[in-house]
Order: sequence, then structure tokens, then C-alpha cells
Amino acid sequence: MYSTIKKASLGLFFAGAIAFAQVGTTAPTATVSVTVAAEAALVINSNVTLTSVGTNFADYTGNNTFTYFIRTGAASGTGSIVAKVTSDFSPAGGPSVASPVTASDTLKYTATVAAPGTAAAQQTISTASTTSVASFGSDAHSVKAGNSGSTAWVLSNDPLYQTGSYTATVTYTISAS
Amino acid sequence: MQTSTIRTALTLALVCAGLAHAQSTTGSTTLAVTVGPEASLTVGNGTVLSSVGTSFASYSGTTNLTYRIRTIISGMITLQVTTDFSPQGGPSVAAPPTPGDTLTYACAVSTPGANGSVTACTAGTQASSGTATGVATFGPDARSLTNGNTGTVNWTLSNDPAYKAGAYSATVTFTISAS
Repeated sequence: MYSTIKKASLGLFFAGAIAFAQVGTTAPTATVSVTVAAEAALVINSNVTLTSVGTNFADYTGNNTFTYFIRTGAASGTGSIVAKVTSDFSPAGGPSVASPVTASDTLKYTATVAAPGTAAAQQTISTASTTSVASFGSDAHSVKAGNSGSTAWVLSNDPLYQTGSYTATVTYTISAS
Repeated sequence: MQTSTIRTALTLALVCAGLAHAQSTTGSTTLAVTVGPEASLTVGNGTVLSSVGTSFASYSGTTNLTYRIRTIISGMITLQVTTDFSPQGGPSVAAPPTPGDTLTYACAVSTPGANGSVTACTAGTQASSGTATGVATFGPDARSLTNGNTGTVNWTLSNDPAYKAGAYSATVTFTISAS
């Protein structure tokens, strides 16, 4: 009797399991979507020390490098890197971008960027507005680790500058659409 | 409930991915420059000395110079006869045919245009082939104009009958320094 009940119970449990499996069978799905947008970022790798080399009153020169990351729109996207002097040379008495002691004194740079960027021609940088470092066309992509670029700086060496040490800050901005 | 959990997990993953590559769209670099004392000099070439007026009047002529300078402490311009008159038989700085034959000069140097002072040599300063002699000295924080300031050296060379007739030339080297 006990054995019969046990078998019956097992039979019920088995049947129940089958019934549950049939009812609960499902294949849930989820939709994963992502919009990959135009995007850009920039890392400045170094500061710059400008030095005068060679003949006396040769211009001060120096270089710095940067790494850019960019993805522009596939159809009609564009991108750019621009630069601006956001803090002029200080202290006063030396070189100045906004108010040079001689009108012809300038701070210029020549950019070099790895493809897909196109470097701008030599520019005279300003404190008032941005100037071009590089431009990008549509569907431009850097590699994941970023692509490299550099700016070679040339600062006038004017005898009018007071001797001393001077610093300025240049801010780069990258954008993509 | 299950769908919501998956959605939340995906959202978090995307946010985390976004944070992981959130480099800035701007970056700054500092440009630093040390402006030190410096000087340079341009000297007019080919000064011709000539005797004007009375016979055996001394030969005279002018050399123009343009200097650029920036000092902390001081600066100076000097000159030295680095190649004596040649060929032989005429005037000589190192071995004149008659003691008392000299090459002397007077200086006129404009004040540094931006700042500072200059003191020019006095008339009758005797040029030498053995040592450098002064043209001008600059004070502290002297700063010329961007394109330089000017000066002149007015030469006087003895006109000794003992000189053999002919054309002679010498080389004078100017040196400018700043500290």
C-alpha cells in the first residue's frame, strides 16, 4: 500500500513537472540598441618650453604633442581642433599675444596631425578668437588609442622684452559633428 | 521584470562605457619662455678713410653700426684691429712707421630705444691690434628697439708722409655682449 502510494506520488510529481515545463517554456528577447554619435576628445601630452637657439635674437621655438580621438558623422559630418591663448604671457614686460610690445611680435604655430586630420597652415594665435589646428571630413575615425598631432611654436624674440621667465596658457578644443 | 533588469543592466553598461572613454574635448598646454640677456650687432662694411682739406690732414671716415641689446646687468661694444693695414709700407696700427701715428676713433651711440642707458667712448680712443677697446657700455635693463638702435664710429688715421703711396686696408672686429 505504501509502495503503491509512493508510485502514485512519484507519478503525480512527474506529471506535474511536465505540466509545469509546458506552461513555463519561454524564449525571452531583449532589443539592444545603441546610437553611435559623432564624438571627439583630446589629450595634450606636454607643456612647451620655448628656447632661442642659434644666432642672437633668433625667435623662441618649441613643440608639444597631443592625441586626438574623433568620430565624425558618416554623411556630412565634420570635425575640428582649434586653439586659443586663454591666459596671456605673464608677468608683464615680456612677450604678449594680446598686447605685444612691437606690433609685429607674434606667437605662431605650425600644426602636424596624423590622418584622418588635415593640419592647418601656419597660424598666428590669438587671445580673442580661436585659430585652426586641424580639420576633419565626414566619416573620419581615429584609432581607438587616438591619433597623434603636434604644434611647433615660434615666438618673436624682441629686444624690448624685459629679461625674465614668462608663461602663457593655450587651450585646444576639439569638436565633431 | 526580467526585461526591466536587462534594460537596467544595459543602461548601466553604456553609462560606464561612456565614463570610461570620457576624455575631454578641451586640453591646455603651458608655454614657458625665459627671456635672457642677448645682443647682436650689424656693422657697415667698407669704410673708406679719406683726407680732406689741407695737405696731410688726417684720414677720416665713419662706420655705421646697428645694435640690438637686452641686458640684466650690463653690456658693451668693443672693437679691435684684427688684421692690420696691408700691404706693408703704409699705415700700421701695430708697428707705425713713426711713433705717434695712430688710428683713433670717437663714438656716438643712441640710447637704447626702449629702456636703459648707454655711454659712448670718448673722442681720441686709440684702436689697438693687441686688445679690444671700448665703443659703448650699457647699463642694467637696457633694451634696444626691435629693429635695433644706431651708432657711429668716426675714425681718424694719421697721415704720415712716411707712408708709401698706395691703397691699404685693415679689418676691425666689433664685439657686442650682454649680461
